[in-house]
Amino acid sequence: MNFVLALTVGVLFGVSTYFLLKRSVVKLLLGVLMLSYGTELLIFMMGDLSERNMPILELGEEPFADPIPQALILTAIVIGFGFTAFTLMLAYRFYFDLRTEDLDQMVEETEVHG
Amino acid sequence: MFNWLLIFGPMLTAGTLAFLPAHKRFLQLTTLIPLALFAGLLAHAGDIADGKTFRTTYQWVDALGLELSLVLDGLSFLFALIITGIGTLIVFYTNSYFQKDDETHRFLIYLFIFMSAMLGIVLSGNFLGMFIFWELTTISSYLLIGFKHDYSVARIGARQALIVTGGGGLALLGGIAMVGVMSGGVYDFAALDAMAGELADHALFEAALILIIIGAFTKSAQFPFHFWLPGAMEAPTPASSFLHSATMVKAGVYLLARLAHTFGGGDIWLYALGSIGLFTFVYGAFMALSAYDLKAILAHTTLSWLGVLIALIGINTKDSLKAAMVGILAHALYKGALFLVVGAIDYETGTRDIRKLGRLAGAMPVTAVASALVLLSMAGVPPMLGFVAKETLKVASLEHVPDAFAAVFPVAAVVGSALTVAAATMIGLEIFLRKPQHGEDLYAHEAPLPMWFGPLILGGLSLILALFLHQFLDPIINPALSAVYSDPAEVELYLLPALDDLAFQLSLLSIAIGVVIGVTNRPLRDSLQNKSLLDPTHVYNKIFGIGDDKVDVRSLLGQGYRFVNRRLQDGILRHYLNYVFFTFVLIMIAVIIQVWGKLKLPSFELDEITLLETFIAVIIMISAVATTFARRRLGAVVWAGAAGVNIALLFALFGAPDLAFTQLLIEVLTLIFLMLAFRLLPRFMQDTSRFTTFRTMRDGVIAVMVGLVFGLLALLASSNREAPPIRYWFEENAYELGQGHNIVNVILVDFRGLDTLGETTVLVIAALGVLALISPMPLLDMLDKHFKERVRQQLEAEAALEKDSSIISHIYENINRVLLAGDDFRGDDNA
Repeated sequence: MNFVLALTVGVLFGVSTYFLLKRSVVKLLLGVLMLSYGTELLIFMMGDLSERNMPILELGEEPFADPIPQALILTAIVIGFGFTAFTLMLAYRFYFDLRTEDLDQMVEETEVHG
Repeated sequence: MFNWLLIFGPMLTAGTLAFLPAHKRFLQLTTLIPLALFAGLLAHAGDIADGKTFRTTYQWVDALGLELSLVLDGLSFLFALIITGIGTLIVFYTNSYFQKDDETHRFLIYLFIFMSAMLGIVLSGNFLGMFIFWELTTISSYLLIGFKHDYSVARIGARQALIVTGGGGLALLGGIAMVGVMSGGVYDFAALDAMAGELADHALFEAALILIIIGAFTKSAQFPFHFWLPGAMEAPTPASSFLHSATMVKAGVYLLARLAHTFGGGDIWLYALGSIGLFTFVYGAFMALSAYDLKAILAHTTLSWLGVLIALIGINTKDSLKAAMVGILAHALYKGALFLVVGAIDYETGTRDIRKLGRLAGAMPVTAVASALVLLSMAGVPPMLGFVAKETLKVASLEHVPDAFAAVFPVAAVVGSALTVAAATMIGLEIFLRKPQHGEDLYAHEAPLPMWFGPLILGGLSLILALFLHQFLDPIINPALSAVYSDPAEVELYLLPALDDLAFQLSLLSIAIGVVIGVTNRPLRDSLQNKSLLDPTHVYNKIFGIGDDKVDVRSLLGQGYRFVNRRLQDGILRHYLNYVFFTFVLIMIAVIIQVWGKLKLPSFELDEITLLETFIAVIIMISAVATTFARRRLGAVVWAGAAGVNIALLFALFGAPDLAFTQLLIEVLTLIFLMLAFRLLPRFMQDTSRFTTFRTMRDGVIAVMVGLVFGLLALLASSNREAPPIRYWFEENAYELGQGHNIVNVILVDFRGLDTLGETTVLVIAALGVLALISPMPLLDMLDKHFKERVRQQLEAEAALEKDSSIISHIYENINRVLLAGDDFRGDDNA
């Protein structure tokens, strides 16, 4: 079955992990972004992908795609956006206060400020 | 009065007290609570003597087999009487012990919590339920030992007791869990007893038994766990009297007695209980002779007597169990009273040092009389209850003792008894009759009534119970023995034995030896100089450290902390992430390997995905990977955007129009946000440290592993769909119940409306968070004198970073300026 999509999920999660492990706060942000992409696709794959008609009863095109993962992903997208926005502002505040984008500096810096 | 108040009455009192002001009236009234419980219990004395058992059950957690059951049989009755009876005197005593009402108030709250816990232990018919109360006694004991928490010794003593008995509690929990495994989830004592034979044949039996025994030994201060008990003497004296002599330390004895019929009989039971108990008996009594502090002396004699009780239960004959039951009662009466006497003496003279005390009989006549009674009982002189106890002990040591202990037990019984007699003689002589060893006579007068009332009552009881033993003692002891022996059992108690009786001769012998040692105790004490032999405290210190405020770095625990802090928790979150990811990958691989055989492997049919879709997927992958190679932020964002937009396309192709729209919309918004914010954010950091390559490799390896695991997960999960999909219900009911054609929408706003509400809440919280991160800064900084300076620095920094001179950056700079024009932190300096 969907080897290509599974591979895509894997790549997205891999890239996300790679970014999350970086020292740069901006890369952390990209990691969060990629994480939500990967999650969306992962949930999507949990549904039955063999049908491609839209799950709208009016259209009468049966059989149609599984609506449940779609509903879940819709939630995931919005929450992912909220999360990204928050991380973005966190990164900004981090940079504004500490004058560095190096997350490792945070340890000593906060002690000085704290 | 057989109901739950028997356990929870004191707890309710504690709860009520906590909300009442620390007023003398309220505090004095609380004496009535344990008294009422005591009277209520006594009302059942007749039924208990007839061998009746009261029982009521409340299902607490069905799945765990955890029920609270209230069971009152002979053994519970004996203990409950001791707890409520002595408890009454203790509460009465406490009211004049403390100088301040505040202290009495706090103390009584702890004490009532403890009383509930202790009653819970002895009245629980369920092993698991009992454990909860067991732990509660540990905690309340901790609070009471550390009552004077301004003093470092009190804190150290409290922590020591908590670690030792708490550790024992863990062992006990392990033992109980094993019992549950063996019995198939049965924890009821009576039910367990019924399956004793099956349990004994189980492979886990020995392990469970050892763990339970460790739990009981720590609680009852048996060697080598005994050292917490002398340390616990930092507690106020009423607590020492109640917890650390009359009740809590007997919880271990109680537990072993309760289990004697179910688990007793094997070699482990006999040897562990018999040898450790007898050793502690002799050892404790000997150490008592070396101490200066009266409370330390009493603590050592207490653990000594606990030792003999445990040995008696270990021997597990009808005679020995009988001796244990009498011993429990006799000891609770005389030792509880002695602690109270010491408290009164401390209260009057200001010292507990046996070398400074002396000739108090004249100054404190009532206390002296009470003490004389209980000391005689302690020494086992007829016609006191202590004599009956010692006598049954001697009988038990001679009759039906297993071969291994046939020679040791009588000797140990005589030696231990003699040393106890010596301690009693010494206490009586040194406090009340002799001149002080050091210094002059201390000035003292008689203690207030509540302080001598308790000892006098207990002393009187020690005499009356023995004198009228058939009327008073038999109806209490015989049902207890029957409960332990699980068989109606009676052993005759007697007060006046024949002179040619061997047990009696041994008793006389031990009294004679004891009096001689007691009278000549000073040289022995001076040569031992308060030193503790075979003291495991240094082992404890090596593990847990000596100090009380900080973790001692020289201790094993300190070393462990240091390792964890330096190596595992260095404060850099990325390193934690490494561990998290690594563990995740390992666990997932383990799980996948475990279920591999049962999995359907995906077939290689590629027809389910069209060429276009494959193409888009490939673009997503390429974009994602490309972000990692981007040298500049803008590039990375563009690549990320490309991935996001293509995901939206994929959604559209797979029949998910709502997803496609939302994804596209959110993608655009995210990009705009990123562009706006990037103006204020730094450029990519150039990591120049010499570990860069290694780090990149390491991160890369972890990333690839995580990616592989997720890819595999996606693949395996999507090709192993077993349960029928739940989509059909939604599809059938979407129009019917939700009045909507778009099923996805109906699910979101109708069927899973609460979920969507939660999602909206998350968004609001995120928005508030964003607001908090931006806006309070200028507001607060308005008050800051350096605000302007800070803005200037900020703008300078921005200017310095402002080197992205592409067309897009100009555009978004303009947007930025418009959007943020009103914002304070741009300041008046419009750069």
